[in-house]
Amino acid sequence: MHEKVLNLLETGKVDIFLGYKMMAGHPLPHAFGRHNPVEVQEMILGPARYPLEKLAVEILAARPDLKIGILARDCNRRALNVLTVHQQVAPGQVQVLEVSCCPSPLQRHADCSSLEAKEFGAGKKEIGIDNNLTPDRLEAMEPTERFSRWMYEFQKCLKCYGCRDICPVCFCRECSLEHEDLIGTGDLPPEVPIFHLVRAVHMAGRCIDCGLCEDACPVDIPLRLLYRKVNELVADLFDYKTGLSLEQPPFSLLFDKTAQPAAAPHGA
Amino acid sequence: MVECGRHLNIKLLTLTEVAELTGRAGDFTVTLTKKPRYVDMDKCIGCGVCAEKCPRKVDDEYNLGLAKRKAIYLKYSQTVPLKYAIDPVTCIYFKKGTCKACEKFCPSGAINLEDQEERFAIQVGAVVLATGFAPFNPGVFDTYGYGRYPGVVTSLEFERILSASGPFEGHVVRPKDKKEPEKIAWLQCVGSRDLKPGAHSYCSGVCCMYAIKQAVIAKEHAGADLDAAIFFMDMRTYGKDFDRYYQKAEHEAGVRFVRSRVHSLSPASPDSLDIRLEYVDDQGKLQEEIFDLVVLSIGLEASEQFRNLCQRLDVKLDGHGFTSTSSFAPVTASRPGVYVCGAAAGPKDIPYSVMEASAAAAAAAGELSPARFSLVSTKTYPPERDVSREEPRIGVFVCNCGINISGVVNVSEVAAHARSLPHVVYVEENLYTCSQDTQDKLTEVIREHGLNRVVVAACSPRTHEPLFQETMNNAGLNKYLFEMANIRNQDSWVHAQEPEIATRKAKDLVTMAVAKSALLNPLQEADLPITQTALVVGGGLAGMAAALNLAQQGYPVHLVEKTGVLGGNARQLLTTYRGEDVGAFLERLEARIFQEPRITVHRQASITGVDGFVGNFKTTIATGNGAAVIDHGVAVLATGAKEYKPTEYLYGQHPGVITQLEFDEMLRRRDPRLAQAQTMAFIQCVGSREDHRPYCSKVCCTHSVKGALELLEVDPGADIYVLYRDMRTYGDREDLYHQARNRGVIFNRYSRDKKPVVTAQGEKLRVEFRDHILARPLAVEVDLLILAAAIESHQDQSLAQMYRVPLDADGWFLEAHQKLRPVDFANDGVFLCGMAHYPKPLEESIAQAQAAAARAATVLSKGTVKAGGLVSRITPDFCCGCQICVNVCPYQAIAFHDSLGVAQVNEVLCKGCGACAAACPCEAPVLLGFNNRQLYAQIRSVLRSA
Amino acid sequence: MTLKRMRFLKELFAFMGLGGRLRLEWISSAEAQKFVKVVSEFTEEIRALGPNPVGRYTCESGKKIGRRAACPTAPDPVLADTAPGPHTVPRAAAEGR
Repeated sequence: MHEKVLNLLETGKVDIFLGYKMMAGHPLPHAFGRHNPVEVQEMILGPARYPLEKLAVEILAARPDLKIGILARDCNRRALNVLTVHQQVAPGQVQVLEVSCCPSPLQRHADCSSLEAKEFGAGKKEIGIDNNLTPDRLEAMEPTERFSRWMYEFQKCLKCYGCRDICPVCFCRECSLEHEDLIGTGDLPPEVPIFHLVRAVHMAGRCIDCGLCEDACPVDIPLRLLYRKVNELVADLFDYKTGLSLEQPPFSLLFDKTAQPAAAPHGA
Repeated sequence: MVECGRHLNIKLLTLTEVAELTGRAGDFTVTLTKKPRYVDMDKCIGCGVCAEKCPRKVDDEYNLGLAKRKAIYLKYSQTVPLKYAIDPVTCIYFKKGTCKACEKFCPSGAINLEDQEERFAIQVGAVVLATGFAPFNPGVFDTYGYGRYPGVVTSLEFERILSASGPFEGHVVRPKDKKEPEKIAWLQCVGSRDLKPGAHSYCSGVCCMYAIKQAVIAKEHAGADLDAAIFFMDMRTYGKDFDRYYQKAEHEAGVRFVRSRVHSLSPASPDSLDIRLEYVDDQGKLQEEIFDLVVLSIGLEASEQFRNLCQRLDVKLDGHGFTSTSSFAPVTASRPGVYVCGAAAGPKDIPYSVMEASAAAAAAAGELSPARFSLVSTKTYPPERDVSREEPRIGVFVCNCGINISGVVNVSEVAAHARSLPHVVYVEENLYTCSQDTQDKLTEVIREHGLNRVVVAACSPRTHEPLFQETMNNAGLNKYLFEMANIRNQDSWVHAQEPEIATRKAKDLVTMAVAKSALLNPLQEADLPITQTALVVGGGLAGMAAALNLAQQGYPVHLVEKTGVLGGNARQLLTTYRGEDVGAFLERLEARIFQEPRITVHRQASITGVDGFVGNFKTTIATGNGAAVIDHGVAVLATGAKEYKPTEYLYGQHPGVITQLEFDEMLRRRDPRLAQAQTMAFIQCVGSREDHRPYCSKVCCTHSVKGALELLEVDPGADIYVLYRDMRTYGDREDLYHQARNRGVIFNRYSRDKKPVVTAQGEKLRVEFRDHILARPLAVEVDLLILAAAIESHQDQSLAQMYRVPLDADGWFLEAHQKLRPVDFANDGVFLCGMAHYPKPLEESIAQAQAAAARAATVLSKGTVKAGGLVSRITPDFCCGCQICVNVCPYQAIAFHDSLGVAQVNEVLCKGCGACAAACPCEAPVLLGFNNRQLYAQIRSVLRSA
Repeated sequence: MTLKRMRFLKELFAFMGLGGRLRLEWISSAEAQKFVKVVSEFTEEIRALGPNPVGRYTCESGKKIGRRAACPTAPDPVLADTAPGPHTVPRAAAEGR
């Protein structure tokens, strides 16, 4: 892997390469450059996960002349695809070095080996939602129970925006979640359940199920579960494969590129 | 209708008949007789109190006697103009001299029982006949028992039964006993394709489609278990997407299609309402079925009244009583200056009638172009006051609408409530806020109290907003500082029984309107000058006709043709179905095109790029002499279609197998092979109505029948076979079919799964098929086999993309609305005509070309296009460049600015639908006049008060 | 497309436990009776479902109820839901609004 990175840098295919490096005992994202080839040897693989593609896009926005390579798990690649169809980066502008980690690549709901199932406390299981549930299992509950459990989860929200900030596909300049015309401001928890539902709808056709939001959430709201449901619907109803193809327009609930205009002539 | 009713330059004359037409084209005097309405149109406010109080109940002819109305009435609830009328035949006052209930109760004093018939004359330049048709009366045949058996209704009656606003609220029942039918039969061709006295020989052209539609909707209303059976001879679903609809009705909706002409009906038993149908099925077996309801699919006919009118106007009729027109001038009546459209010129459906209406307008406009704009009215306003630095000062005007609102809603309470709302500084109650004197007063009040926002709580903005906006303009305020609360249509009318709740709702509606109005901003509109030039793509017949009409209307036209000659497919046609010489007509048309100084013809030219938008297009064309850029305001796409080159039936392998166009060429050259040939066969639907081309090519049945008749002219003794699936000689083309059969042409039906088999027999061909009457295989040896090959689209993706217009699944250009906007595209300023839209005969292409020219002229004649107003605006700082809005915009009004990296709205094209604002993830688009703040203020205000 | 969009929202609401509160019907301007029928029917359906439970998390002043900031007029949703028996609608809320 190190060889490959060095080769990319030396042949000028990329100017910088984004990977991970141990710093102060933590694996953190780091830009490796041509000027310091020795440092490349310090690049680590391991289970560290950050939205490197988001960093790459941000760097490119400031320095469009740079050629960037990233270390990419399957989720990073999917996110890059989403960013590409949303015109945030040109196809091929970011070079990827793939790390194999997903047990079944490009599969819907392929669980990431980096996301270890976490054991939650009895209280959360009793009145909240166990983050390890699948949408199906949650749907097996009674609606009133499900509702009350969701409300329990949403009410814990500290509005830290961690889910949004870590999200690799949150690229908007103006965030609806901070738009006072849309969502009440100045309260904690943020407007329940509007705040989380707005974000959920914005994840339609964008969420690539990387789970970083849930990792980042300080109060363990089962966000991944919510967005999974959203994107199941996107796939089932609209036949849209989020992040799996570049041959599709950005997803919108308002417009179906594949739909033919309804042709139903009605008599004379 | 509403638009027509409120148009500044359209004067509606109701209850009026044409008595006489004198003068000549361009200078007619029309003498009119206006029957008394007994209601003053200026005073009537359409409140309906008169009809409520009228004691006289009579059969409602609009619901074909299935419901009741009063002697003072509106024909139906959406009537334009919305003014009541007294029917003197049934009114008690006119019979007995007393009653006058309407006069007593009318709140506005509109009843005038002394009203007299008036006779007056007007001066016009042209006359358009759009008198429609009369439904065929099946009572003339005793075999159907219409009028005697209550289980038999006409299709028009069934239409009312199905209608949600009809007598049974859309509930499918048998009118007599309200029984829900389990089995309904439709009998096609009642009064059409029938040589019996009293009936008509022509095909009415629309009944197959309406019967399918009724069957599908009946099954939707009554449930899938309803057995809906259509008894027909030939299924004539020849229009755009009609065959698909037929297939869906049969295979998805489960409508039963029975190929049989039912001879007569009888009651199932002497005291039963059920109807027994006896018929011979297509196996030749006698069948019997009992139906709860039988619908007679009645045809269209020209009424006696219409024929008398035409006689008064000196307009010639054809043999069927419709106006006589030429295929080359399909909307021009025999008398110069008189034009005709719709079913007055022969039976036809909605899209084609709408198309002809535009065509008639174009033909008349071509004639009258020197006088354009000489009689229209325009308006001027004082300069607008700048209110941007003022606190909102809202004036609220609550309308009583006579007793229309005040009869239910407590208007004073609503007004008092309005006074309590924030920013409201002036409140007034009006008897009629819309009356002219109130408008003058409103202008005064706005000035006097320094109002900068106005809310009117009255009726529908659809009908009245423009009026109040004009008053805003007159008072020096921007018209977008106006807001309306509909406390009549949405409140007093629907909650007439619950005055308290209605008053509460009225308060809520006013609260919402006030909350929004406080946040309204003035919006600017700009008039952008346009290039008053047209570009027509395609120099075929349609393109030529469109170009010529636009030039006659006074506009420069560029006609772009990809080949070296004009004329397109018409070059290969011999005659029209009426026998008119196409070649001679083309020569005349071409000569006129080249003589017309306003038309520039670009031959061997192709379009390589298109820039701009309505009013200001720039199209780049490449010709032999290099590229040129043409500035134009509108574009008409008339790129035509082509004949499919068959792979079936040995075409291309045997010299005796030819297509229809090749056959026309042989006729033109008087090819000796034709005279030598003894036996000839036509095979229909070659490549049409197949899986990969699931549409009817529309022209081929008539073409083959006409061809067969031509062959009989060459050799009256020839043996001619026509193998078909459904014979689709619609309209008076049916007469040709009839003639061909009479003259010995043998017509034999085949089904899609049992196609004829053709084998080579030396110079001859052997055609095997199954005789549908004898039910056994037959074979004939023919000298010539003519294939009715499908018409295919050019699938011109690149042109479609350049003009940003859609193609349908078959590659035809897709119009904005199949019925109501048949020659427009959703993309403004681009129009279509001819076979690029769908296969069609020459006369329909010409009418459509004129229609496209008329629609194009509506843009060109204005000289400017409006930009701004209620449009979306994208905040560049918020735009993240994802271009979702570009994809979502239905009007192609958003473009991505590459160097700035943001999306931008073209305010000329934007229609203010708000799709972009809804789709944008980052709240960059702001829909002016409906922004988030305004909408949320509206919602919050009402939730707070609830 | 509208159909799909509405199904999307319906299912998302159902996933939240708020099913049955959204309905899509095609009613033309000429179908007044159908409009009345649909609106009346749906109003009854919604009544039968009881008050919008989201309302329990917002009290009349419009202020959201956090776990810490209790609203004086509504019972604490978390406690109310768990105390009398898990996940039943509190009586006060069901009758109150």
